[in-house]
Amino acid sequence: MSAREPLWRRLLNGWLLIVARFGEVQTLVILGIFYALLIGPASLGARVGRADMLQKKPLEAGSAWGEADTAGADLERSKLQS
Amino acid sequence: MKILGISGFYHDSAAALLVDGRMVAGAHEERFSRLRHDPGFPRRAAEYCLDEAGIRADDLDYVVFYDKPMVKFERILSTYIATFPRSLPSFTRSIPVWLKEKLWVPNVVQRELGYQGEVLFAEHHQSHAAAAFLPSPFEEAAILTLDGVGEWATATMGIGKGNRFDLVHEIRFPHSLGLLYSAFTYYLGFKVNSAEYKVMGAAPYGKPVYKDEILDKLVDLREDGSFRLDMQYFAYDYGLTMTNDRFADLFGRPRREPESEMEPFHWDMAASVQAVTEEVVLRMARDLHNRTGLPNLCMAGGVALNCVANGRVIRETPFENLWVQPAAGDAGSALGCALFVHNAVLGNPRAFRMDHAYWGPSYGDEEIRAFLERAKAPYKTLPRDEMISETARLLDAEQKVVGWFQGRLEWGPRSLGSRSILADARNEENWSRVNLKIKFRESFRPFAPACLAEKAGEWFEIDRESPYMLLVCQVKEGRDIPAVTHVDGSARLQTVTRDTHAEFYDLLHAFDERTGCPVVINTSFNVRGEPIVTTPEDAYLCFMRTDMDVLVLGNQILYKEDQPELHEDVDWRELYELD
Repeated sequence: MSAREPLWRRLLNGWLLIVARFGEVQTLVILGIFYALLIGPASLGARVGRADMLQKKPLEAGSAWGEADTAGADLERSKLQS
Repeated sequence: MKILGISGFYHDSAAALLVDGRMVAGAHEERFSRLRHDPGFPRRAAEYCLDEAGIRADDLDYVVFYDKPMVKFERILSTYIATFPRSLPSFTRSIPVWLKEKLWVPNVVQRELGYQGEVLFAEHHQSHAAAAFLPSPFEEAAILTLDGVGEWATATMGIGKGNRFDLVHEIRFPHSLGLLYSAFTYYLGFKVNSAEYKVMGAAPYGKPVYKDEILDKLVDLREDGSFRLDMQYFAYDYGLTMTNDRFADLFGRPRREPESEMEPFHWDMAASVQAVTEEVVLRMARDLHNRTGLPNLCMAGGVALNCVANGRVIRETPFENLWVQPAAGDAGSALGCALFVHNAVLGNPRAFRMDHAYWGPSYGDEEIRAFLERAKAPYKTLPRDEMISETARLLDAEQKVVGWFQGRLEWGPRSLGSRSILADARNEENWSRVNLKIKFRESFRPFAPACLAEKAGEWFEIDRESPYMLLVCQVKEGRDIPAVTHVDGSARLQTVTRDTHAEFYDLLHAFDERTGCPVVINTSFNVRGEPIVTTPEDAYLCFMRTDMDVLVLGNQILYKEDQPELHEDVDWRELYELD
């Protein structure tokens, strides 16, 4: 049997649990605000501009293959994350 | 030149090391962390690769990451914009992970490996294509990559020649054959990015009665194999699930509860999506052949693990030769991105042809015996030839189920004779026995046969080698191997040559000499939800936790009845999440 933890340690652990939960809620709230303020207007703009960002409109005749958008085999391009 | 390739942060993280363009080592992180499909940074796998080569991180010329994080992040943000406001739950879950880790790959590499040099990036499908073509036996080949999604592309086609390749066409997210298959995997109650192979295994039990409905409502399939999905039925672009209520309404049933009984509807659904997948792959392959006129095809991406579709590509398209990367999923991209930089970016000639899949750690007899002594596990050491003949005798005469641990760990998701559970394929009871009492998995799942390569044509309808268990073919009529023959008469074959795995080959040869049958059950050395065993300790624990009869570790043989009872503080079943 392990020795019983001292009172201060148990209090600290309890406090850390509370702030962790509080932090989770805070993160959700902040992300929600970002989502509404950044993604929302961008989405509105895309809808006004009738942008089909995910190619969801039905395809007309022909192939659904598109030209490949690849970076090519180049050392300088390979250094980029984009 | 030393290049370390890394794939990670999604699923099946892995590392692979090239020295002067040749693969020296490669391993999946899950084999070390013991977390199935481990999505984290593959630190342990990378450290193993460096150890195997006897070098340190500072000795590396480059570390290459298998995709372009910023482009992937752009795709994710674009998807959130396009699906606002339904994408809020997904946004709040994924953005913290991106901000914390995924956008800082060079820093993570530096922190985890102590590497101070340049980190390079290849695109996701460039990595797949490189893993498919550059280690293949072909000087020139058509290339087809198919997976869930990378940055934007979900499928690409192109041509490889010499040390370079060009990807010419692509299909972009959210239209994805891999995600379509995953959506049905989810709907059938299995785990996404993990249990797709169960859908493939379930398909022969059903009839493809929903194929037309899928093609009519969900998939707008074109003659050349290209397609668009009707995203009204799917949720993976905005939510935390793969399908939505409209999808369930279309087929008149809610999603199957995981672990609940499979009903005729579910078998038919599995058969239907499998049939659609095969149709798409066949059309793409035929179109690619029309465009290139080449006799050789290389494939990679998770969909290339669909060995039923691969078998049909060989039989039903004009391609004469097919080579599929044994680690066709994202793990193989660790090798692909390293080869891409070495060959295509730096212009070095191809120096590596992958002719086996044994690139992981091995353990010599001394190490094994040291472990067994520590574990106080009774064993006997036999000369190599006696070990082989005794194992063959146990499989045949005593119908034992044998844990087989020999040589270097496999690269890719399949056990190919290094970390395998073996049993007599002639005994039908072994199907249910190994499934239910040893692997603890669903009874419907078939087992794969391993067969001497030179005798495969006598037992299976196949005219070529299948060393990576990536082709399905029919068992020849009159050949009675019920434990590896699926309900439709097919088998997911591994052919074994002496060049690639001498011990496994010699065992099959000895079994053939005794029985006149060169075929055994070969299934992965693990229980359901557990990664394939890596170390002798992993193997011993798996042996002791199951009804396996015999364990062969190198030249050491352990019999279950001789072993002391295993005492564990935790229930091992709680260690592994079911897939």
